[in-house]
Amino acid sequence: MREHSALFLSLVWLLPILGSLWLAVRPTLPPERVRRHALVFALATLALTIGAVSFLADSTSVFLSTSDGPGWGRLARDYHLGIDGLSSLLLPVTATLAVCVLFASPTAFLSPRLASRMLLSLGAVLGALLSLDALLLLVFWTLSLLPLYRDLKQRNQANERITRALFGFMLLACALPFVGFVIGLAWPGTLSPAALAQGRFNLVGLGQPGAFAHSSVAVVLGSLLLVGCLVRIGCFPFHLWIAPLSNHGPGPLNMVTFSTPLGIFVIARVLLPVFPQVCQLAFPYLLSLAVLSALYAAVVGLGQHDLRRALGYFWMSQQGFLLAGLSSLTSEGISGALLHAIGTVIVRVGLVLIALSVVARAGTSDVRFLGGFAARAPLMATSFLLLSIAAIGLPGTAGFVSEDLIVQGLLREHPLSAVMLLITTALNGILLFSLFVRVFLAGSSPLPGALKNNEFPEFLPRERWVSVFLIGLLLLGGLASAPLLSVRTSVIGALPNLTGTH
Amino acid sequence: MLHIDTNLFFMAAACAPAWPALGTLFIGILSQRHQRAPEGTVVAISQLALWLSFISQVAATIAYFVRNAQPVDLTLGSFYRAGDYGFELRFLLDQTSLPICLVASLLVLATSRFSAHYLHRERGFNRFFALMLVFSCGIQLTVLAGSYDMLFAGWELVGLTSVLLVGFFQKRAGPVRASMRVLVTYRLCDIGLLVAPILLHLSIHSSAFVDVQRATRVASEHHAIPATATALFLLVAAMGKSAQFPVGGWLPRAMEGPTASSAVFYGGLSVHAGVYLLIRSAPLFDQAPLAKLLLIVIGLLTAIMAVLSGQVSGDAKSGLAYATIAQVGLMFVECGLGLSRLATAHLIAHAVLRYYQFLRIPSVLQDALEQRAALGAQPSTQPAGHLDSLTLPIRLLLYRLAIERFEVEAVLDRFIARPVFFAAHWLGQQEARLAARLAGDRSTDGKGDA
Repeated sequence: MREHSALFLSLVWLLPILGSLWLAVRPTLPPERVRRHALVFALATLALTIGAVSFLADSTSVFLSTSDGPGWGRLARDYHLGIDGLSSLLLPVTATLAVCVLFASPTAFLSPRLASRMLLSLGAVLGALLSLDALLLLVFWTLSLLPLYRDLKQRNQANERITRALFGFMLLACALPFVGFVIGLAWPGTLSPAALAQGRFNLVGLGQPGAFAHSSVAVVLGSLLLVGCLVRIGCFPFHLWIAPLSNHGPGPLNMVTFSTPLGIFVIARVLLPVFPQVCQLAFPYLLSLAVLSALYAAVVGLGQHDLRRALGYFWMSQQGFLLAGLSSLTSEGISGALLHAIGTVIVRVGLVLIALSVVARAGTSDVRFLGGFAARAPLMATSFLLLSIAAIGLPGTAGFVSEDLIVQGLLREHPLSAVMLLITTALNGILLFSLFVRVFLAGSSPLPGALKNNEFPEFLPRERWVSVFLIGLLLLGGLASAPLLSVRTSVIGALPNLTGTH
Repeated sequence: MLHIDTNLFFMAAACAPAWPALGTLFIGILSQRHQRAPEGTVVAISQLALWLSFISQVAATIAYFVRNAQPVDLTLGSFYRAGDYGFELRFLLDQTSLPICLVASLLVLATSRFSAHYLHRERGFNRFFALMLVFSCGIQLTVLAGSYDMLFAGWELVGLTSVLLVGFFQKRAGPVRASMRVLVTYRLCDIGLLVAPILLHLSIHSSAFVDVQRATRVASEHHAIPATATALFLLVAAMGKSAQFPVGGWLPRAMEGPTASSAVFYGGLSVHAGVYLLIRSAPLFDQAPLAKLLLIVIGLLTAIMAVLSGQVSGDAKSGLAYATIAQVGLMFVECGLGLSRLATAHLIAHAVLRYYQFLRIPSVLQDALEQRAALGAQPSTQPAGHLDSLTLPIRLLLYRLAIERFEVEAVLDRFIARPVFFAAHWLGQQEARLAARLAGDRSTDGKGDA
């Protein structure tokens, strides 16, 4: 299997892109057939990711399976894929979430074009997770955002225009620094001869000590990369695109595009091992920014009237948590952040799917016009509640473990930040419970016009099973967190060493 | 000669919270498969889980006395571990935890029996039993916990079930609003219970009660623990859970839940969790005179205000809630005076009595009529409290303050809740405007989103 790893790993990102092309040339498929076709490709991709992780990954070293394209000449020097402890869980989780989104998204939201873009985005995200080359990573990093931008370009209502413009800024602001970083690597004299021998863009080679000819150049390049990551994460003050996108963007595509927090992943994959001096310099400030971002989003979220927009702020707040965990530069904090990265995307997909179901049934996600649906859709209400509980880190769920580890990682060096994050958790809990109350409890809906004959159908079987599955994953992550943490032990143990702080 | 390893019994007690958790899982699966799972099956599952839990604790209590009543600090291993930190499954079985846990199990068991008839054919029957089992798991974890980390896990489960049971009758706006108020109070006050262990981890690298006790013995020389700060944070957490001044306004409103849950939560167990936390933290408070003084002041203030508010309360259930708050206030005073044993005894006696009173509340008129018929007496026209020695203006002032619950909630709303929500709305609006301007859109100026 290992001899064919190049082909195998390439198939992981190539298959969904082929699926995207398949659907793109079938624009007249009815929605249910679109779902089936897209699911075939997504399930096959999931099987491939599981196969890749099972056969190729081995959690004893930092980069476990690198593959050079055989006989591709110069191109092969810049084509390295691999799986390690960082990506081995994210790959199947990303594919699983894409399957869940395709399976449970309301039919009204699915079109061949949208499903095609979802698969394209999935392929790009998986490619980014597999990339061990800076150039390749840049391609996938940018490609993963393009389908969403393309979709927004075809929408013309006032709020959608604003969303498109903000997302366009975000796309530029996270791609251009990355382009600058790659150009910097290609610039003559940037790298030492030893690093050049391993390939100009090879991230494994760049992680070796003395890879850069001048440390000041490394600082500049690392800073560029960091800015790109912060924009993609949506950290304060680069966050203006998050709420409009959550509110007016195409929900299913949005979920697939951000089914992995790639900004956080690139910080862990590239910035920590390749630019330790940048981390030492910037991370104390970054920690403050992350905490501010988490707290700000939690406060602003409380004032929102739209379910999807409020969930956008919740997402931003969780991203702040992830960034704070990484910025702690401790094993506990980084372990917690990487576990939280998985838990929080599962929660987000579950909550947004329910929000889309509410929109499909009620015609709006404005909570001022919603309420009392628990009596008519008790399973939907219970699912929302359980996902919210998991999101705020109740004991027994993955969120409890990850948030505890993040706080433990911070408390020795940054106790004030730890306290601020605890306050954020409390506010997030209030936000999610108030959304639950306003959507599902508190009397009957004052929206008879939108709810024809006062109907609000219960979960469809496919929606119910996806919710149960996601809640099960979160419980499993909470009750059996030790194996999940151990997968990344060696990688995480190596990261702080690379930063030179431990 | 038969030798029985008493450690097995202690292990059984530590595993006792797992039975109700398993019961919840079974009820959840059953409810998924059947829209209306049979009530009999749900009750059977609940009873089995609660009996197993209770028997485990009885066995552990017997083993405890067989071992000459020596405290047992039991560690079942690490739940998870990363770097130098591990979350230990640590339990402390001693003369405080075991009796309280036994009483808690017994009360939940009785509630399950009572509710099988009381909630018969009620919408949400299964939900009630599932939540009650989660509560049972939570309160046992809270009481048996050997560290603040473990205690917090149980504490959160207790809080969650409390919130959901207050909002049990979800079609009415009153219970839903009340549950929201409970949640906000709990979440904000629980920050105290999150910060306190952080301070302990920072100072002694552990949050285990045994380690804290050991550290406080040498604290007078080395001042290893920031005792005052830690104790104050714990006090905040205890005030929230035990409905003390100024955050106690949620308890009378929490009576919107079913009578059975009111009895077990606000008469019996949940409301005493704060007192239990203080009893467990007694060594810390002994090192923090300021915190102890504050404990006494808060307890006394709460007791006086609750007694006066109870006097003007319009319904029996709320009156009972105020009586509970007043008694819990006195327990705070006892803890402040360092009378932990008295507080423990007070807690157990009050929990049982109040639990019974809450269960009898629906029949209170019937009881009064029966008593009157038996005694042949007429109902008294005298008020329960006598304040004749006070002048009329003072009495009127007290009456007005009591009926308005001393305006504590109005002040909290005005100076904390409203500014936070105003800031949230304002920031949201400004952000939407900024986004619209950045996008070059003057037509909406962000009004659609603001």
